[in-house]
Amino acid sequence: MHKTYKHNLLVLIVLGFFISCTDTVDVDVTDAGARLVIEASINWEKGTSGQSQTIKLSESTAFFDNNLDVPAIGAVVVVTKDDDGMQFIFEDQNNGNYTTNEFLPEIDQSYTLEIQYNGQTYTATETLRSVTEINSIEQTIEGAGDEEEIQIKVFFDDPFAVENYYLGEFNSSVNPLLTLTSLSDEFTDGNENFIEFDNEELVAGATVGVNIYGISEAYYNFITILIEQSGETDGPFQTTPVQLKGNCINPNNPDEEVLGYFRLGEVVRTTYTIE
Amino acid sequence: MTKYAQEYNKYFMKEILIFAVFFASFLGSAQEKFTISGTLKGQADGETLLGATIWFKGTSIGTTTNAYGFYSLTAPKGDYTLVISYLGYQTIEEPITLDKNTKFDFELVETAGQLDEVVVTAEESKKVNLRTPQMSVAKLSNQTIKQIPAVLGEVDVIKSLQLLPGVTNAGEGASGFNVRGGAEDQNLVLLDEAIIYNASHLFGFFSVFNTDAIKDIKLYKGGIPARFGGRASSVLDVRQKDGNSKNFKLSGGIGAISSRLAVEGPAFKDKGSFLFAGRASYANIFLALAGNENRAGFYDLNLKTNYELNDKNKLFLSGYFGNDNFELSNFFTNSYGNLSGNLRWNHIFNDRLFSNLSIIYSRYNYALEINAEGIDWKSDIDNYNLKYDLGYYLNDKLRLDFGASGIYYNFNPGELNPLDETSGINPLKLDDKYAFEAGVYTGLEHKISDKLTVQYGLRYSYFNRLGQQTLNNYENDLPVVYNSQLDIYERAEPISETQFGSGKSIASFGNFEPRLALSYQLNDKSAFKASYNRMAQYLHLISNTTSATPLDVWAPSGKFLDPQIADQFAVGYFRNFKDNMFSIEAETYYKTIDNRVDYIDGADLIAQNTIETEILVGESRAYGLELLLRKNQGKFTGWLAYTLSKSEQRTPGGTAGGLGINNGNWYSTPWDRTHDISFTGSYKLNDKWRFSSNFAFQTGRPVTYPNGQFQYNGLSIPTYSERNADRLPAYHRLDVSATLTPWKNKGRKWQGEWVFGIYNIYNRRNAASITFGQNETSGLNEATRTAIFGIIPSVTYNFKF
Repeated sequence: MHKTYKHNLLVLIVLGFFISCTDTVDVDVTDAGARLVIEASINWEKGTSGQSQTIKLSESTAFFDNNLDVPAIGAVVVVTKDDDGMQFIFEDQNNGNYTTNEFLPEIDQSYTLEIQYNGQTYTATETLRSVTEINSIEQTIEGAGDEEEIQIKVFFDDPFAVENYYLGEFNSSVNPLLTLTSLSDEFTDGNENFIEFDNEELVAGATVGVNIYGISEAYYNFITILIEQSGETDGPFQTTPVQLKGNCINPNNPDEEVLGYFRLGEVVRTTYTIE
Repeated sequence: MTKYAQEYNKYFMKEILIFAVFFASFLGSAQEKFTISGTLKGQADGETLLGATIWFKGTSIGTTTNAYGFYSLTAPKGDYTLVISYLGYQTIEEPITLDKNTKFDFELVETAGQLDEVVVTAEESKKVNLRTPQMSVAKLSNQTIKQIPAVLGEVDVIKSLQLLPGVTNAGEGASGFNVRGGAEDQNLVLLDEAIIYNASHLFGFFSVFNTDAIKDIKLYKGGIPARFGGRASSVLDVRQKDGNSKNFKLSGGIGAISSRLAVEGPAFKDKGSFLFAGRASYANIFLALAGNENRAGFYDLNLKTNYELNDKNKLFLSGYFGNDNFELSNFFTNSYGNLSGNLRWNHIFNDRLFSNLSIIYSRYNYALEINAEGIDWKSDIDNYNLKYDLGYYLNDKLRLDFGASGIYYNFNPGELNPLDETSGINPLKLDDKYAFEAGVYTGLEHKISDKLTVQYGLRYSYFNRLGQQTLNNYENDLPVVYNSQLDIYERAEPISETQFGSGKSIASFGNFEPRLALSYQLNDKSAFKASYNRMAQYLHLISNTTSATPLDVWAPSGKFLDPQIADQFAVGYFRNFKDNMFSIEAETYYKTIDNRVDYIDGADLIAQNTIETEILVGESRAYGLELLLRKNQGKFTGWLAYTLSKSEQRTPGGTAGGLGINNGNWYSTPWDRTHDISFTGSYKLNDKWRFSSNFAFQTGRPVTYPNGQFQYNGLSIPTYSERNADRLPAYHRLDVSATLTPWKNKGRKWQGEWVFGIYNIYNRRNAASITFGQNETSGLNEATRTAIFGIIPSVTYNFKF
């Protein structure tokens, strides 16, 4: 299934002839306190060695806090390849980033992450997923009149009789925020699939960085909910927000809420310039 | 004798005594009794009158007309004065001599246009109404509805019901309505006995009922009589007009958003009548002119005709067809509609036994096109229904109802097709589902004494989920499993399949549904009432609000889903003041519902062939206090309603393991409103001008707010904890309207009136939703409120010819 991070789209849901509006309001929300955030995304770019990898650790903040950058420093980060026990140590860069230049990625292999931070241990296990090459990118115009916008569709082949899941990441020059889209081959197995990206600000000459990742089914479920919840889905069709559950846990305190996810996957990258 | 034996004997003697009294009253006294029966109609248009009161003056012998205007009264031989009264009509007093069984039909004259006069209602009429055990029912005559301020010029049934206590909705933009904390799918909506699945147009803004074609509306919130079954919380029984059998009439209205037209008149050489009414919105024209790419529109058509074969047999043919279409500028299109047709045969066996046989077909269809995913999805439900209802007016103390009903369902959950050539979708047909639902019932209304009347009822319902279908088998029969490592619920992989042949039973359920109601008259002005009902509901509406697109899936009970069972207790106090100028009703209720489903986090219902893998089963409960103060007569009429209530649910992990949704704790349902205050008033200044206004106030509905944020993949992501623990800001609005009836109308055939209205006059931005996300420029978090309906003025011209 194709889920899209539609930013202002559903603002338009409202029936045009009614005097309706969206506006920013002040709301009081609670603060559940700082929790560890593990952004452990191992990306193996097709055609490279994949040895250089980064894991980011940070802490969560209050919802309306303007200081977004709270790095988690002083952690010990190790990833183990499960079949042969090879260990990869990620060095603390003192800014929340932990890096290694010796990672050995292997498709369909299982890896385990272990983090020591603030006297606590956190672990996760995942498998490295593959992705196919991008066939082509097509640019079209969607909508009409006032709501016309440029849209691109990224086409790639989906392997038949295998359950595949994909994450599309779009970084356009017109929008400082990334766009994420998830896709499953549930209805499109074996066909040429596409992931689309659109933005009302796109104009000729704008560039769009396109990354397509292979992901697992568990990560697909996670990122799909994340995408739906982080977007501004205004209008009558409300999503009921749920607590995002990542795959990292504290084995000594399973009730501790650990944010983020440990995932591994192949990635194809390209850049497209809007015509 | 031992103490125990003594007690037992005492108890046993009491039992015998009660039985003897019952038996005696059953047989009646030794005096000879005769019966008068007949049909009540309006004199101007020949419409049968439902719920009119008819009694023998000075006695406690009285009854009300049934849904077809039929009554039957049995009394000892003698001379009486028969009194007939009905709101909006002149009371009839007729001396009669009761010495044989007689047929008496009456025609009542309207008192229309004289609402400012004090209407003298005979004492006994009030008594009869206080005496019926029927409680928790809101009855709206067409005249009451027409006086409520119209929204966008349309008088609306559901909007009017929401002004009464115990009835609310899940926010502007949510279709359907909620009764006593019950879910939207727990209302049995009947239009001339045909089931309507979605009673809303434009996502809840209008109802599918065209008031030009409607004669009577009753909403049963509790104490539901045994003749109704199939939904847990309420019954909305809507009756269409039969059509003016005396003259041809044309009526309609032209409004800002929609217009309507109705034609009615006599047919079949004065042995019957017909009614055609249609309504359509033309908002699409305005949207197109404004250069807006969205589309929102609806239309409906009501048809009815009847034929009186002879004075014991009458045939009715009714139909309804309606459709909604909503398009969000090339991103998705949603359309849905109801279609129903029914043929009914009223047969009067004798002056005490009335029957009605109905053959009904109805269809609900639902379609969704999502451009971004290249999806074209269509689904529908077909019902074939046969029901037979009888009413036996035994004597002046006993009235018996009994009957049976059978419904055959064919659910087509959908066909998925590629929307166009670029779509990668493989065509998919979801499994058709079949089921048969039957019910038999009997109900007895028993006047035990002058002060106490009791209604006993028992319904037995049966549901059989049938093949042809292939179903998955899961390990341990668990379609949803708890993954303790990730602390989430996941879909289980099927281990095998079982094929069920056509007509073979997959699962069946049977339930006894006792219904009990009593009314005790404290004095001639007040009464105390109590009721208990058990309702079994075999269909579930799974509405996925985790999806950003509107989605409704009706799922029948079966191998993985048990029926919803509701138990409701209610007690109430009713009182009239100042000769029925004021009345006050206070009711309190407690309702529990078993087998209420909720979907797991990340559930996906679009084109889902195995719904069982997306849901967990739990329970819900609701309780509250309802107060209603009405002014029924005078230049100023109206009511003030206040409801204090709680509606919550709990979905534990159960056999799947784990704690469940919200860690297995109770959470508010999305339609829980702690306080709900409604006021509606209508003031008739003179023959030319009438003013009315509505005020509504409700506690904001439950929502889930974030409790923090974290940075991931270059984005700020909110974190959430307890489901529905927060609330939106309170909802309130004031509507006003003025109706102008020009002098020119007097004595003229063409009657017209202008209705000027303003919805939400102080333009409060009531939050339909508040969402949280990053500001595109600053990247910082902000809360965005969406308000749908601001101030909306309207002008409508209504006419009658």
